[in-house]
Amino acid sequence: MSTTTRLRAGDRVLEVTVLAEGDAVRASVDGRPIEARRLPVPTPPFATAGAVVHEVALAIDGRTCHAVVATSRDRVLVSLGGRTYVFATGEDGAAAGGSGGGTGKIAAPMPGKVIAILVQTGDRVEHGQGVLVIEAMKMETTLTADVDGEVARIAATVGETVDGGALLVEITPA
Amino acid sequence: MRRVLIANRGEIAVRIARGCRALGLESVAVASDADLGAPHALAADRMVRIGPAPARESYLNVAALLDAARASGADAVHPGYGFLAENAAFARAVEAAGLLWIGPPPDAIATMGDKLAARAAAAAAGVPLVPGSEVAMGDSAAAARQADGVSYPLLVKAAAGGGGKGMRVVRRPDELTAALEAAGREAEGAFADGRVYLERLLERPRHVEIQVFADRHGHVLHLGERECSIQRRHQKIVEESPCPVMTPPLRAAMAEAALAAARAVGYVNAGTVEFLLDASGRFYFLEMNTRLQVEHPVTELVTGLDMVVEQLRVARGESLSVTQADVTLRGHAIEVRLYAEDPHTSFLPSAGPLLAWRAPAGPSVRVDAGVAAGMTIPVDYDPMLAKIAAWGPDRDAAVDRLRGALAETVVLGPATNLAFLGCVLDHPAFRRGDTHTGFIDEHLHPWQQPEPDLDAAAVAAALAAAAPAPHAAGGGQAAAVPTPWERLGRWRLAT
Repeated sequence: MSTTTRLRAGDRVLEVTVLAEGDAVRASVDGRPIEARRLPVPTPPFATAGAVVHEVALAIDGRTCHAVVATSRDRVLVSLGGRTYVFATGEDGAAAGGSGGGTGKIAAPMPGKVIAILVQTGDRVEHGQGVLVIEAMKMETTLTADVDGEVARIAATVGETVDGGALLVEITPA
Repeated sequence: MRRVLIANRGEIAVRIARGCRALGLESVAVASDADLGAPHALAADRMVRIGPAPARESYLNVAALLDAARASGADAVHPGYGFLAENAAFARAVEAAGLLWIGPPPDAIATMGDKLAARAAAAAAGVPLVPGSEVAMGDSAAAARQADGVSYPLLVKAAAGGGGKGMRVVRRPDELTAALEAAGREAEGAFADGRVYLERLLERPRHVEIQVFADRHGHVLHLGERECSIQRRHQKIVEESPCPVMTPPLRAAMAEAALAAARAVGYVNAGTVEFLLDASGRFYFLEMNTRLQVEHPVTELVTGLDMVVEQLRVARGESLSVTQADVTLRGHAIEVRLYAEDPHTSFLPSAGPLLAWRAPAGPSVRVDAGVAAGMTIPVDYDPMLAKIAAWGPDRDAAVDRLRGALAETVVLGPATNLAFLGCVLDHPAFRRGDTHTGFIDEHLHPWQQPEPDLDAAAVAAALAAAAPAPHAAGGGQAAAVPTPWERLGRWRLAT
């Protein structure tokens, strides 16, 4: 079986082709060939909280790589060597876990409470300027403009409890 | 003392349950609705639901905690750290309910909890202070004069503060008003006390703290120091003992100051006196934490003491099990705090389901964890997942062991600082012991995770993504991938 998967890692797109025959794995990542052998693992894949967790062990050039991989609808998380590699598999790539750069749409990074709004509709703002203060997990965090532009809309009020991902302030890029 | 109510959650509640078990005491866990099924809820001999997820309605709810103690037949309360641990009113309420309070006298908590009163008490005991000032709220001209007197750069700190909450750095006079407002607001929210004060921001200081311990029989001793300079948001993420630049005379001087501060408030039980240490070896009192610290494991690793057991003994009226002469610091220990937070976005907290969690192990590796795979990391509380520590005969050996432990740790789901912690340990300046409270800003900001195994990770990701989904039934077992036994074919034992 040969599959080609496009994985987004931050702002890069990796094209990963995998041909697995028995335990032998012939793969390429952006054209870089990788010859590997799949090693047995003790735990079969299991479903938990909307994701499937796989153990994947590979011998690459004789070196053992033992990864734990969580796949969900639009993301694949890989734990390997004390690091987590985050891959987005969705078409728009928005799920890569980053803060998203330069859209002017300032969203709540997580559920929290709006403590202060630092700008008004029509204000000119610069990239990096604080626009809104949110409290989440007991910490106050100032959300900043990710573009230079003009505040087009404020979609939150002080004291409001907001969901993660909720749009709070919209800035029209200059 | 027979049965101890643990008025806390997460890893410290698990830790306290272990201490109780070591002394043959029963323990009672409390859990909010968000924590039912969390490891700490199941770690004690009994479990009591205390209320909805928000901390104010559960772990900060004094009435609910006292009800839980009564209902479970507990006769003592251990507050852990955070939540109500340094709340004198809670300590008094516990004692008024006829329960033993496993902590310092309420008056000592009250004095040290008010940072301005603590500074006064320390100064009266002859302990050197960071230059600072009270500040007039709502009078910006007076505040500006006071700030000029302290001199810039300075810190605005909450009088009722701790853990970096209600704290702001002010580098220029025009930042003062906004910082006072923000700190006051955060302090009001966190502590229901919006008073703040000013303190000079020392350049590149080390954070060094002395662990003190006192019993009711007049014994007051210290267990050496911890250095906790590696901080983000003014909160520690790496702690070690001993401090890499400590000398016996400096330790003696700092310990003497710490013991003087403790005696000045009639201290009993475990406490920590925090200092800043500058490059010339001068040290300044910061504050006293009247509780067991998050980072107590490093002291346990170098002294061999079980500090929770000592706390329980002291609370029931026994003497400390050691004298000052018995306390020796052996080798070196380092701890890191694993947080659900994203180092790529200024350490913004993260939450959600924990999909995979595998703790490291190995010689002299210690893990204090409050999480399990499959649970959801609640948004309602501090996002610390676990503490990972290692001991070694010297600092290099301890760092090497801890670095290896981090490499074998698996944590998937929320964003975490696991890889970032590895980068701290790998940094040449950290390896040299060249640490100060601005270390992260100076060396690791902005930070990008190194990705040496990106290709291997991508192949693993592609293989997993292409694998057939396991049967959903029960959410657990799956037959999609054969087990090694199934792959083995016919076999028999060779005899």
